[in-house]
Amino acid sequence: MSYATASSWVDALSIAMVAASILALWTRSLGRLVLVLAVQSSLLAVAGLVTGIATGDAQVVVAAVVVLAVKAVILPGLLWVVIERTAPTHAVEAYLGSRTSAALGIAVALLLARLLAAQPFRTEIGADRVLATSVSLMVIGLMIMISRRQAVAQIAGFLALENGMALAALTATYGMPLAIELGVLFDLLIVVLVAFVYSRRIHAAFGSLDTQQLRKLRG
Amino acid sequence: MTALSLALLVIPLGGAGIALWCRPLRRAWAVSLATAAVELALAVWLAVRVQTDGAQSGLRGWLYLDSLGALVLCLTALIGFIAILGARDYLGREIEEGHLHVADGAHFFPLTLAFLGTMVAVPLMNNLGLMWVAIEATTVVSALLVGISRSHAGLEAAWKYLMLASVGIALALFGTMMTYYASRGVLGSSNSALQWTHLLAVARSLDPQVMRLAFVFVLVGYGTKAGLAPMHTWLPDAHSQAPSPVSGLLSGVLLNSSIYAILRFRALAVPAIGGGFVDHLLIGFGLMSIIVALPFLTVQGDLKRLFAYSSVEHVGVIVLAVGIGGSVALYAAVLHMVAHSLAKSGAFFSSGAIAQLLGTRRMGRIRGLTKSAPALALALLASVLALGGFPPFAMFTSEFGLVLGAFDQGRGALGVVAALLLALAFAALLFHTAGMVFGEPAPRREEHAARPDLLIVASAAIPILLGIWLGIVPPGPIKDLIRDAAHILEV
Repeated sequence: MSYATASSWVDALSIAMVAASILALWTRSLGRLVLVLAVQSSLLAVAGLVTGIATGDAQVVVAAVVVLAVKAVILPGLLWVVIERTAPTHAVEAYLGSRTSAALGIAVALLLARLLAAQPFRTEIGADRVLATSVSLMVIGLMIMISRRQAVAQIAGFLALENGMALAALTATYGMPLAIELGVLFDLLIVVLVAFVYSRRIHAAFGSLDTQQLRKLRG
Repeated sequence: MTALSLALLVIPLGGAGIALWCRPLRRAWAVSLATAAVELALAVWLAVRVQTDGAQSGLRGWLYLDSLGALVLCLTALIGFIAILGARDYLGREIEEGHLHVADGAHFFPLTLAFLGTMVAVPLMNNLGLMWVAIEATTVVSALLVGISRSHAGLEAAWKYLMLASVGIALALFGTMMTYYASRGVLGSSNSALQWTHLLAVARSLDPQVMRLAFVFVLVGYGTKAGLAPMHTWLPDAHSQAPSPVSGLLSGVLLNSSIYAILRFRALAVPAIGGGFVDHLLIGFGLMSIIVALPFLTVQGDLKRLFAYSSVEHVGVIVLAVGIGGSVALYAAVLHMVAHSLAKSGAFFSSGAIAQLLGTRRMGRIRGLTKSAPALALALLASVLALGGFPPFAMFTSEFGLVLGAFDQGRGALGVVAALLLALAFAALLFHTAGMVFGEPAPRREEHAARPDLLIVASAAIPILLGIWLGIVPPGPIKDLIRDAAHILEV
C-alpha cells in the first residue's frame, strides 16, 4: 500500500470515528451507545492496521489486533453485561438533550479542525488530520462523560475519549514502543474493571446507576 | 542498581500477596509493616548510592534514579511505613464500630502495599511511557482504597476520583505521545526515544511547537492528579473520605509523584521552547491553586476536608516556586515538597484519630482536645503550625525561600502576593484548630473509647518530629540530598 493511499484511508477512518462519537452523543439508548463504541474501536483498529501495513511495522499490527480484541470486543461486552443487569429501561439519562449535545459535538469537531490545522503535526505516512480528529474525539468523549448521568454511560464516554488518544498513538507516533503500548492498554483495562466494580457497588448502595445521587460532598 | 530497584518493585507486590492470605488482620498488618520496613531500608540504601556514586541507571537504561528521584523515593517509603504503622488500630476500630466490613478490611493491607509499590515505581522509571503506566496504576489501586468502606460518601468520592483522575491521566498520555512524536524526529523510532535521559541530552533540538503542546497536555493531565486548581475538584472528596492512613499517603506522597512527573517534563520543555512559556504556566496554576483553596479553608466545617484543601494550597506553593525558578526558589520548592509530606501526613494521621475517637469530623463539635486527648491535640496543633510555615518547622524556610527567590528573580510583587495569601491560609487553619484544641470538651458519647491507641499517636508524632528536626538542625546528608535535587531542577 502506498503512503498516499494509506494516509487518505487513515484520515477517512479518523473522521468516521469522530462521526461515531457524535452519534454516541446523540443516541438515547444505552445499547446503541455501546454498539457505536464497538464500531468506533473497530475503525480505530483498522486505522492501526492500515498504518502498520503501509509502514511494514509489525509492532503496530500487533498493537492494532490487541486494540481490536480489548476495545471492540471485551470492554463493550462487559459494558453490555452491566447494562443488562442494572439498567432495566436501557435508556440514557442525560443533562443535555439529543439534538443539543450532537450539535455541540459537531461544533467542537469543526472548531478544533480549524484551530489545529496549522500545527506541524503529521503522521509518518502523511495523514494530517489525525491531530484534529484525535483531540476532537477526546473532547467529545469528555462531553459524554459530563453530560450523562449513569455510571456506565460515563465509562463509555471515557472509552471514547481514550480511543482518541489511541488513534494518535497508533497512527501519528506509529509504534510507540510495543511494550509501552501494551502497558497502556492493560492499565486501561484495569481502570475500566475497577469502574465496573464501583458501578456495581453504586447500584447496590443506591439501587440505581444514576450518579446524580453522588452529590452529597460539597464545599 | 538493577537488583535493588527490582527488589523495590517486587517486594511490595509479594508482601501484598502474602497479606491477602493472612488472617487475622493483625498478622496481615505485621507482614505489611515488615514489607514497608524492608522497602524503606532499600530506598535509603539506593539513595545513599545515588549520593555517593552519582545518578544510577539500570536494566539497559529503563531504570534511572538521580537525587530528585531518590528524594521522592525515600519520602514515599518513609510515609508508607508510618501510615502502615498506625493502620492496625485505626482499622480495628473502624471494623469494631461497623464502619468497615471485615471482608473489606482484609483487602486493606494488600491494597495499601500495592499502592506503595506503584508509587515507588514512579521515580524509578526512566521511560516516560512506563512512568505514565506507574502513575495510572496508582490511581486504580488508590481508588479502590478510597471507597473501601462502601459508604455513600465514600462511593461518591471514589467514583469522582476514578473518573476525573483517569481523564487527567489520559491527557498526560497524550502529552507523552506528543513528546515521543517530537523526539522521534531526533532520536529515531526506538525505545530510547522515550527514555528521559536520552531525551534530556537532545532536549534543545526537539520541535518547540510540538513540545509546547505536549507540555500543556502533560501539565493539565498530571496537574489533575496533583490537585492543581481548577482540576482539583476530586481531591477534597477523595482525600477526606479515604481511611485516614490512606489520606496521609494520598496527600503526603501521591501528590509528590505527580509533581515529580511534571518536573521531568519541565526539564525537557524548558530547553526545547525556552523558559518563559513554561514558567508562566506553572506560576498561573500555582497561584490559582492557592487562591482557590483559600475560601474553602476559611469556611470549612469538616476536619479532613480542611487538610485536603490545604493540600491544594501547598501543591500550588510548590508549583509556584518551580515556576519562579532560580536556585533559591527551586531549593524552596524541593524543601517544601519534603516538609509538606511530613506535616500533612502527620495532620491526617492525627485528625483521623481524633475523628475516630470523638465519632465526628465536624469541627464545630470538637472542643477542648487538650483535656480529652492531649497527645493528639499536641500533634494536631504542631502539624497545623508546621503547615502554616511557623518556625522552627521546615516550611518556614521554604516559604521564606519562595518569597526571597521571587525577589531574586525580579518578581517581587509576586512574592509579596504569595506571602500574603499564605498568611491568610495559615490564619484560617489556625482559627479552626484553636477552636478544637482549646476550651471545654463536649460531653463524651459513651460508645467511643477514651484513649487513643499508642501506635496511632506514634504515627502522627513521627512525621511531625521529623519535620521539626528538618527545620532546626537538618542532618547533613539530607540537606545535601535536597540541595542536589534542587540543583537538578536548574535547567
